[in-house]
Amino acid sequence: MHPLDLSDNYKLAAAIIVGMAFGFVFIKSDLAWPKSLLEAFRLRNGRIIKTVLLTLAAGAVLFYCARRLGLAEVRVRPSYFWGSLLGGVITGIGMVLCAMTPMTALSCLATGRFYAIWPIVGMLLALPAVRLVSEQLSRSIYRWSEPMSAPWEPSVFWAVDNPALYAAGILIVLLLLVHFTVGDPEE
Amino acid sequence: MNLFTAKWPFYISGPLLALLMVLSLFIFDDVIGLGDALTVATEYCGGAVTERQFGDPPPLDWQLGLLIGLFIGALVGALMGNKFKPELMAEGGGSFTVKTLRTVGCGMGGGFLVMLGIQLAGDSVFGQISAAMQLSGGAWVFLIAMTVTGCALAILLERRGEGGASAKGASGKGAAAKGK
Repeated sequence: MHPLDLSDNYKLAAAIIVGMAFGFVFIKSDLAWPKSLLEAFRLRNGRIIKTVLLTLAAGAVLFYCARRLGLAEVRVRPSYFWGSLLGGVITGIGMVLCAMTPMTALSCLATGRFYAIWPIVGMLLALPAVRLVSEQLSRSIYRWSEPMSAPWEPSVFWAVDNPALYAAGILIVLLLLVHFTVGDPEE
Repeated sequence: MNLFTAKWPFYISGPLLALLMVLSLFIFDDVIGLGDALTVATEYCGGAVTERQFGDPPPLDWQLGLLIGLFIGALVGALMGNKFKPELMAEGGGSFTVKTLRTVGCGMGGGFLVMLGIQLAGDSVFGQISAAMQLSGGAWVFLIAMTVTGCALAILLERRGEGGASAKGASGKGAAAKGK
């Protein structure tokens, strides 16, 4: 087995269906609401934190299984330590200001919250700005460290050296910690 | 619990999101995210502005399809759960001017920073989550940095707001006492 090799129209149809599923789950899991996301950053709403932690934990295991079965391959864009670190810090600041990501902003807009157009406009304006300084970035941040190596995959899941097992274990412990400390205001 | 109208608990939405992300890797052989679709939209708008006319629209590829599907899915989810509510201003108190400035300023500024950070790191937030599931070191660095910065800033801003409010309350009470 290998990843599907769909032709253009089938791929487009599949993308619309998968996109619909994502949009529906974002609404049902509260990820589309800026207020909930901001409450999660303030450690007052454990619901979104637990959803993300469980997504990562389940995803690490599911991806490992899918890769072993040949259903998926590693598809990771090249990353640099300083680029990822600075990018994470800047994104964190931006998310506290607008409490949206590109995907959740579009979902939020679809629910009638027209104010979500402003973060989308800001995101669109950032792209030419990055292009203007991309040459300087290539000469600075991306040269401060070597590209990070591709993830390593052991042959057996229940192995001491399997990073997926550790990642899932640590995320589940974190989830339990959030469950018993932060909680969910609606429960 | 009605799955179509009620909110979903984390043990349903979490694994479902993970399944969708792995399914996306299987179907599209790429991580999901709207970064590329927004880049295409920006290039099209930029071309229209510089040439002062709308050229041929960008080809409808799977990432633009994902964008359309996302919009439809969120709309259906909101309508089914009675969550569709037209709003022009973000939540929060204040006068009309303050609310407008906050909605536009924080929205545009926040969106700008989010996309700037995403471009620096190389992938969108959900793309990074998908890459973290594949145990990419860069994605974990990004997610940890984003969470720590976001939590610290959100808590600090909230405390500053509370401090300001309590200080104002205290000074207000003091002024009232003086008045008496």
